[in-house]
Amino acid sequence: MVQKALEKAEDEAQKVLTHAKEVSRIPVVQPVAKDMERSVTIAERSVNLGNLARKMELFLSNPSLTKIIFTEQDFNNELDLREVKMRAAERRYGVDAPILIIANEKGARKHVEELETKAEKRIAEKSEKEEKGFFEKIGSWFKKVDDFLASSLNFLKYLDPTRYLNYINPLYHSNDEMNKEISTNWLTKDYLGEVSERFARTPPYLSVEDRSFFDKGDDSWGRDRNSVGLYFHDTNHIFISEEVRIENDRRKTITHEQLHYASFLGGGHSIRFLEEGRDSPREFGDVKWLHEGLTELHAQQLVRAHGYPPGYVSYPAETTTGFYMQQLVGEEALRKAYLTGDFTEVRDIINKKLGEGTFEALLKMDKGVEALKFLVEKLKAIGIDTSEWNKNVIVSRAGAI
Amino acid sequence: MSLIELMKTKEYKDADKKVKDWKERLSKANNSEVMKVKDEKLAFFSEMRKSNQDLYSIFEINDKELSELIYEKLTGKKVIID
Repeated sequence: MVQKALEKAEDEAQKVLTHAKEVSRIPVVQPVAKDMERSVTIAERSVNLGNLARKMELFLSNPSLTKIIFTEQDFNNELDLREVKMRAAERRYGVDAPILIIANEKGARKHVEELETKAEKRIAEKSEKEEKGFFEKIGSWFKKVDDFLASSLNFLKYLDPTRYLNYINPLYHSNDEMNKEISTNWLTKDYLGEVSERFARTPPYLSVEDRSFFDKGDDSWGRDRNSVGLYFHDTNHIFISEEVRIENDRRKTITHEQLHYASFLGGGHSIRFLEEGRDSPREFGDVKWLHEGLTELHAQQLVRAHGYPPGYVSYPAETTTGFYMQQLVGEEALRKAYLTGDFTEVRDIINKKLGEGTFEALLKMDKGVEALKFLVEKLKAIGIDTSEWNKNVIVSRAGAI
Repeated sequence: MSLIELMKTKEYKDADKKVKDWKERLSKANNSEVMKVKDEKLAFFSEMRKSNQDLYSIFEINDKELSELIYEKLTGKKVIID
C-alpha cells in the first residue's frame, strides 16, 4: 500500500516538475493560470530549498501549499520518512493524507550524465572536423564548452540547482564556496551578534543565473535590465547575475544579499526605538533608503576588510549617508541597529549631537540624497567638518558628495 | 554637479513628483492599475537611465522600492531587488 502511494506520488511529482520545466522559477505574474502558478511555486520552493527541515518549516507554515517534494538525499541526511509524514499529515490533513512526494533524483542524475556524454561526443566529433588552425581550434573549444554548459544548465534549472551545478560547473562551484566562506568566515558570531545562531542554522541558498532569468524578473516588476542580485524572503534564496564577473564585485554582491537576510532575521527591516517616558517602542517600519545604504556600507566594509575591494559602490547617496551616521554613532552601535531594527542608541546619539528630532526627520526622507542633504546641512550648522570623512575610499568611490 | 546639486533641477523635481504619484496609486491599486504603474515607471526610468545616469543613481532606490511593491502586490511575495 505504501509502495502504491509512493508510485502515485512520484507520478504527481513528475507533473509538477514538468510545469516547473516550462516556466521560469520566478513566477510569471500574468497571465499564468492560478493552478499552474501554484504548482510551479510549490516545485520551485521544494527543489530550491536546501534542506529538509527548512522545507518542512515552509510547508507547515504556509496553508496554500498542498504538496511537498522531498528527495532521497533528504532522508539519507535527516529525518525518518515516517516522522515527516506524521508531522505534516497530523498538522494539515489527518494521518492518512497522501501528501508526500519523492522526486526521482536517480532519474535526474542519469539525465545529467547522458547530457554530459552527449556533449563530450559532440565535442569530439566537432574537433575532428574543425582542425584548421590553432586559433580556430581555441575558439571552437570555447564555443563547445559554452554549448555544453548551456545545454546542461538549461536542464538543471528546474532541478535541485546547487547539487548538480556544483557537480558540473567550476564557476558555480566557486560561487557556492564563496557563499559558504562569506556566511561562515565573514558573518561570524562576533559580527552578527544575537542573529548569528539563527543565521548559522539556516544560511541563505545561492544560485547564479544568466541574464534571461533576471530579465524575466525585471519584466515582472518593471525594471530595465538592471537587476543583478535578488533575495527572496520566503525561500531564503539569493540569486546573483552571472554578469557580475569580477570576483571582488561578486563577493560584494553576495555579501550585500546575505546581509539583507541577516538583518531580515534579526528584525532589522523594521526600524523602531524607545523614547523616554514610553513603555513600547515607536515603530517606523521599513525605511528603504536607510536599509539599502547600511546594507551596502557594511558589505563594502566587509569585503574591503577581507582584501577584496570592489570596483563600484551601489546606492551612492544612501551609502554615504550611512557612512556619516556611522562616524557619528560608532560602528558597533550602527551595526547592531541595522541587524536588529532597534535604533534607540543610534537615535539618542544623533539627536544629542545634531539636535532633538533630527533622527526622526531623517527617517521621514524619501530617498538617500534628501537625507544626505539634510545631514550635511545639520553637520555644517554645528561646525562638524566632513572633509576627512569624504576622503574615505567608500565615500570617494560613491561620488555622491 | 554633485548629487545634492542635482536636487535643484527641474528634472529632479518632476521625477520626484512622479514617484510620489506612483506610490500613492499603488497604495490603493487593483491588479490592472498595478500593471499600468509598472509600465509607466519602466518607460520613465529606462529613459532616465539612458539620458542621465547621475539622476538615475538618485532615483534607483525609488525604482527598486516601486518594483518590490509591484511584485508584492501581484504575487503576495516579498523580494529584495538590487
